[in-house]
Amino acid sequence: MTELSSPAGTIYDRGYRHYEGPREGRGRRVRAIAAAGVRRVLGLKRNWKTKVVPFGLLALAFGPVFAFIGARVLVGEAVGEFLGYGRYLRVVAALLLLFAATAGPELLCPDRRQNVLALIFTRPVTRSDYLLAKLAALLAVVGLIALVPLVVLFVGNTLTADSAATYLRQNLDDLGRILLAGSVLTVFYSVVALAAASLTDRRAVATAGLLGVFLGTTALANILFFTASFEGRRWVAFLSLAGLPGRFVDWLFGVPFDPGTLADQAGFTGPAYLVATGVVTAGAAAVLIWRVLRLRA
Amino acid sequence: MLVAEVEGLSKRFGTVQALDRVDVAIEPGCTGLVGSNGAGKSTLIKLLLGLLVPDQGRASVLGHDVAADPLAVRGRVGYLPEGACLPGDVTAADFVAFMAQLGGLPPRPARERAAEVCYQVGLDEERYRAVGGFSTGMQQRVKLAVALVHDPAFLLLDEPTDGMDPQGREDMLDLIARIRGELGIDVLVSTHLLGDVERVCDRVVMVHGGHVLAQGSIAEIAGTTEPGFGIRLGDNGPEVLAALRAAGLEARPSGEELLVQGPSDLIRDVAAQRGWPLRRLVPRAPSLEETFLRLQAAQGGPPVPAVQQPETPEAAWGVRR
Amino acid sequence: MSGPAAADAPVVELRRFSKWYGDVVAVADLSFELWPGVTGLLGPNGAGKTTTLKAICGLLHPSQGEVLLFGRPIQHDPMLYRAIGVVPDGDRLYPRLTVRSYVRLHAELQGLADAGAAADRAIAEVDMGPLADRRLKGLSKGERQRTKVAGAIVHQPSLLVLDEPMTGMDPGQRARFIELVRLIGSAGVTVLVSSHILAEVERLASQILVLVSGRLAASGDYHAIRDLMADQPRTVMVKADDARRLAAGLIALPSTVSVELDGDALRARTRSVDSFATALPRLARDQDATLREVRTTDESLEQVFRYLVGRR
Repeated sequence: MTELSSPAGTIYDRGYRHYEGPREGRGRRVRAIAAAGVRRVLGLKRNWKTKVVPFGLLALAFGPVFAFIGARVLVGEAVGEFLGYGRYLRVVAALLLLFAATAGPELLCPDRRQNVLALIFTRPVTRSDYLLAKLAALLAVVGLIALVPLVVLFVGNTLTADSAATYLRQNLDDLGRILLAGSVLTVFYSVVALAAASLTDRRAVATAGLLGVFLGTTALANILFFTASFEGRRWVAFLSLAGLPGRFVDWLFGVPFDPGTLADQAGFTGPAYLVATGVVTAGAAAVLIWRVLRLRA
Repeated sequence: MLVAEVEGLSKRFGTVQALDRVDVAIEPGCTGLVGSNGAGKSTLIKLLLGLLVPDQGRASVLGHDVAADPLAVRGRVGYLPEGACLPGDVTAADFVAFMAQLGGLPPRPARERAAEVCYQVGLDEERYRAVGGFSTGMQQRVKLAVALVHDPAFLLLDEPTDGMDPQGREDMLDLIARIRGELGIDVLVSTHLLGDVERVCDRVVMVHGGHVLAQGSIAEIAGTTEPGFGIRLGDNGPEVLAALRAAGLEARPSGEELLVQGPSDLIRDVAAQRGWPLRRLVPRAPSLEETFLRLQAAQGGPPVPAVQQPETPEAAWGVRR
Repeated sequence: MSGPAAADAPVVELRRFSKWYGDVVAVADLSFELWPGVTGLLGPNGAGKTTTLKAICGLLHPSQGEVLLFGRPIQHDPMLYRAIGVVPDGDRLYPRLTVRSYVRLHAELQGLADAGAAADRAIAEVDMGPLADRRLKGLSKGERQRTKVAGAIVHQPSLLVLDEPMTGMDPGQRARFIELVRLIGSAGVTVLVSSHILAEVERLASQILVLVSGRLAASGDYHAIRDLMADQPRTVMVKADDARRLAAGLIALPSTVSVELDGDALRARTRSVDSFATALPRLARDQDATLREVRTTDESLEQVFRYLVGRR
């Protein structure tokens, strides 16, 4: 079909045209996969049911913060202290686990199950590009929950304090702690969740498996510690996956371990838990890399 | 310049030698790739796309060596895979646009081109619906759109009419013919349906047991199994046969037709003189199927069954209706 | 199998069969007969072919009407199931079974006295003897389909229903399968084959049933159906050296409706193929024009099908 034109009128060409525009490289491809991942995880451009979990968790993370700030603004100091940052992070960590456990599988499993990989890898996309993009997507969204509510809380506290400047000067290191803790939590939960997701092509199995492992290891650690007695039983403290980043965060904010719990009795300090967190993260990363690099189109 | 070329290519999976020192040259145009199951067709395609690494030999596509630069190959090639490969809960427009970005197009041109290409393959308002609800025919169109959206120079289609109803098959074959003809994109069609290959392809590559049985233009390969014409003249009965032979033609019955060797003018004259209706006069068409089965049998494949043309109703039944 | 059955009654009969699912009418008012031999079932996707096949196999209750096998309603008569063999769509077989054990299982399910011998016979008929002890998992698609056919014919049914049986088969397997089905049909079995590949249905069967939108659009011998498409002028394509001159002569014929020229080919629409075909050689001889090709372009099953589907 060609365009026909006379002074009085024109018929336009609606046929296939070759593409003459710019072609971008690796960055575009990775960004496309990552952006698609973020949309998928948040349930954007899909039906309302897929938005329930992510937005629900976001509401739970942000809700109390906004409520508190709002109350502060209206009522003033009388409202009293909110949960300390450290304690609030415990709540957030639980939300992060739930979120990562559903979002991670959502990012990796459907592509495998529906065999979309057959199409993706026939584009100039390497497996490492794919992995990077998916990880970036999860880090972004998990990071959103891990960091932003607390930063907002900090800002809220600052602005509603009697003297913002004083508050800021006195508590600036708290902001640093917030960022550090948030990052550690984000990386830990994201990598572990993706590793779990890479082991199966069914989302439900990955989610249930991951949550099961977290709960199970905690239960197991507690049972072993409190019922059995053997040499070095304090080391089972590191078995409880859920506790690893959490205990580090407690220590970071100077929150004492709850008396009578495993952590309290085992006697390890915060930095030890950080190391353990790092070890688990590295192990999960290794599993994840191994599994993704093995993917067949 | 060759669209793709493969030299001394070998690939083994466990005990199965899927390809054994194969040499293939794919010329511009539309080429059919046919072969028995397990003969190495899909292996060859995956090797061309750089999804598999050969044990031996080299492959090049559009001038790029596949082993050295697989990403460059995949940027210029479009692939329509066999079987399910589409996400269920995304709209066609969104998915095609996403795949366009994976081909390097920035987001806005990706969207625009996705919409254009969907229209070209016959997906109009349906492109705003989730792919999960699509019929097989529509799914095949989405796959074709995905293969075309980044404007490839070479299309690899694996069983493009799979699962489609007759109308859908027609449409798909027409699309492929258009892609080849009007759009000037080179195409490789891998399929079990030799009729489709005869219809849209100029050339064919036949593989069996990891070897190439034949490759070349369809006319060359199928050859003319016999020169001459297939005709329907009058009632194709004994009187007609006698008259044709008396005119110096060789003639014998074959199914619904008479096979006649000799100049068509003689046939014409017999018809004109006797006043018999000449309903059909067709140069003997090369049959790709006969050639393929014969070559396959010669290679040690299964024996060739008698390839039948449609017969008279009574002959196909044990009982008269 | 024994020689052709003398059939003076249809093997399968549908009388005003309708099926609806809630508000959706899958099939409406279908009436037809199936006799020994091979019949092709054609239709666009969604036309009701699967529903019809299920009804014939006794897997559905009609919403209305009757489905009769040997004159008896299928659902009420379990014995009738013994007379049916089915090769359904899809590829789910127990991968660890061998060919022999799969076919034998079917024989036993049918209650055959000597299951082993029956299985061996069926396996030989589909030409799978040498592979009889291989596990299904390691076989090609064509070999698995043949195995399914063996399982479906092991009890020597009078009715064999095949739903897209050649999916995934390569050219060699297809050619052999077509032969097998023709053989079974000519032995007196009533075979119903549903397929989208019209060129293959042409070779398998000359009786066809065409479903469009849940209704029967045509039935019978497709050559006869083609001849019935008389409310349309027929198109004849002629290739000759001086097509234009030939065209001028052809358009003068009273039966000619129109003539189109396209290079060295002309397409004539005529009300009577016979008179056109009689006049053509004379005209060509008088003009000393060499004919390269003559054919009616609406002869194939493809064309018949397109016409039937397109009509309203």
